[in-house]
Amino acid sequence: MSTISIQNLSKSYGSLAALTHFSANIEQGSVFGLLGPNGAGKTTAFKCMLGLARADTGTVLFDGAPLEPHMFERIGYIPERSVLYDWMTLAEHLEMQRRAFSRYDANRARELLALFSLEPRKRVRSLSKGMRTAAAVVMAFAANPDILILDEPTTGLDPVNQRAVLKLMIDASAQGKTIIFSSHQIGQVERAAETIAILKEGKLLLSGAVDDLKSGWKIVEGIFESDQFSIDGISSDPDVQRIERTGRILRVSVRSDSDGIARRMTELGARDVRTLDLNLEDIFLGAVEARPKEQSLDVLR
Amino acid sequence: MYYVEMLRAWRVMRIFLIILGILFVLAIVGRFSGHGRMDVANQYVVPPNARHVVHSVAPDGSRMTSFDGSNGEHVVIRTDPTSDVQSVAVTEPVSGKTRPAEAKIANVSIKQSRHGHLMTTVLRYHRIPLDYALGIAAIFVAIFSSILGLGLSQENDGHLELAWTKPTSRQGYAASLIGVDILAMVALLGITVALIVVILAMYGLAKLIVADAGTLLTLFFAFAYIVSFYALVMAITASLRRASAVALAILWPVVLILPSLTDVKWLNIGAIVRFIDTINPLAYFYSLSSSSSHTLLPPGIGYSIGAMAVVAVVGFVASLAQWRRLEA
Amino acid sequence: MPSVFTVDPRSGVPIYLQLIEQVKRSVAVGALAPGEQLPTVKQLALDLTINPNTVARAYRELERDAVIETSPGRGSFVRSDGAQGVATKTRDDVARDAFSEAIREAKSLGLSRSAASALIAQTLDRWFPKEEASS
Repeated sequence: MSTISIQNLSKSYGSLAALTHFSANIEQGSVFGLLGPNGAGKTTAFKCMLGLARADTGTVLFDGAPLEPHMFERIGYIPERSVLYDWMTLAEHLEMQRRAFSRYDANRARELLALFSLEPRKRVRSLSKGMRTAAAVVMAFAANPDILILDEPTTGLDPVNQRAVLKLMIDASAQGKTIIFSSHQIGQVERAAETIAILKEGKLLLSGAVDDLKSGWKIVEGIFESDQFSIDGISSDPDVQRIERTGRILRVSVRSDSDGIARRMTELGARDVRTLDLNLEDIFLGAVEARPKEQSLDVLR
Repeated sequence: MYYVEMLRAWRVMRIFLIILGILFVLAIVGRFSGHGRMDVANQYVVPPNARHVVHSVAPDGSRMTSFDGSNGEHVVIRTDPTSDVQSVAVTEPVSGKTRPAEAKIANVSIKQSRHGHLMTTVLRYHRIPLDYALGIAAIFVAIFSSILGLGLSQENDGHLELAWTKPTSRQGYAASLIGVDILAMVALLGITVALIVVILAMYGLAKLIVADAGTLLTLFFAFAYIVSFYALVMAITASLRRASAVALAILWPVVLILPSLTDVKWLNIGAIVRFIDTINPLAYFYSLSSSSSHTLLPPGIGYSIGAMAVVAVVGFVASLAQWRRLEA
Repeated sequence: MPSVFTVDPRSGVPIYLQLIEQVKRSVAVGALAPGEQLPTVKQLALDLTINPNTVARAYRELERDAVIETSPGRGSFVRSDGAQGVATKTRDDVARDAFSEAIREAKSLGLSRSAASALIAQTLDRWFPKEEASS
């Protein structure tokens, strides 16, 4: 069992609210993806979860219990930036892990070093950014944790090694391990994650299962005869999240009942009405770029 | 556990061992390039042209030899058979008018009489207390310990994510770091003292080395001095990152200079310095080698050890308090 | 065999639906024979680099739709009886979607119901000549 429950986590640095009332529930054996632009609060969320930063409010429970030092035995963490010791070799870092984590698997470590073509005798000082990321991946996975907390685990890696890290995550997930990770690459999140949360400026904009989000959201696009058309009955629909109006074209992001909106558009005089699927990138950009609905409607009217 | 801590301590210790190695090589070169063995029995020898040579035994058992030198000086050599201390007093006439005066520097005292005589007395100790070796070693190891004292600050400089996600509490981690460092300091102190003894032995001076009950106290002093300096550096730098190296570079000249300012009367500086110096381990070192105190405490090795122990404990508590409050 | 499956994670269609669709098609066209073993969840997840639970969900739904059967410890296999039914059903689905799209296009171009109906009849006659339809 390794369910992670995050409740109402907030953290400010001075006047900057890095994270505001963040809650999430990560089921055992699931892969949870955290998305958001730079400075959205992803790293802060991870640090607060692990007690590396003190949260102002909120609780984080691992299997129902607050984090205790001994529980790190079962947690693998890859920080956003390299935190390895410049003056130590990779072999020394792995020896450090071996002594600290009782479940450390030396054979696994050797396999992983080979997978990323890492030379254990090299000092961290002489490694590229991508190699440091790969080294952190090796250290985290070789300790054989049940919970993996991965903050941008593919930073600086080439596409081949990015795919290798993704496969390691998938392999770990297939073994029932719980993974929470962040990535700038929506494609990676789309592949690996079942559940996502989108953060912006410390606030949770959207969360849910990727499949539900994809099937739950549609774009209805209609072309009108002239650019003077009414959007009555569309703007007032509670399921409409975003309305874009460009000349004679109206694009509406809608949750669930897209047929209703499509019919309404036809009634309002739209000629070509099409319903499009949203991929995660559309959903992400929609959530991150959207102004509050009321405000955008005020602008439109 | 203790692995990174050991690697770090070893990394710094290596440099100090190399320095000791170089000093040792220089000592070997000196030993075999002319200076040779020093003659332990090398006592003051009566020159062949001396006149009126008289040997006698004083009532306290000292052997005495007196003679007149060729330049009109009168020399009295007195050897204490129990302590091996030999005093050589040379009295020579001074021309012109003189006033009585007296000066004493280390083991040399000079006395000028009203009658136009200058008496120079040199005390020759034929022994080397181990305390001297301990003192020299303590200063050397203090440099080492001040660098080790940056340990928590170095962890704070971008490694907390690694240090704090091990299955160990923060206090446990800091305690193991401090423990390893103290062991390294003790080891280097031992190695340095041993090396001094070996060098003395190479020069044939081994049998002059003496140690007594006081030496044990000096050992405690040296240990307290090194550890308190370590704790002081740690308490000052625990919350810093890169800046800790700068802080250390400022700290060293400050602790070196402050004790010499305790007698400055101007603007009450002496009193302020004395107050600050109460937490300056080096001030206790100064107090030890002179008869006056450079701190608020009275002189005496017992007070010094006690004060430095308090500095060490308070320093560690302050360091741990900062360490627990840090954020990655 | 896994090479017959491909998914496009960037598509708006959920990955598990893409997988279900592909397995059904493979069964329909005979690329997957009755009784043939499917890759394990873990294997397929690794091959396609997608979440294993997504694969598991697809397999569960395929099992519910009686396309495959899973015996614990042995793996998942294509059902010997379900193939034909699935194939017909899938064919109907594909065709219906294509018709809907065409008719929506026609409507948005402003065609009346009778005009659209005439066009469909014409097209039907072209692809299904009278004698074939009657036979």
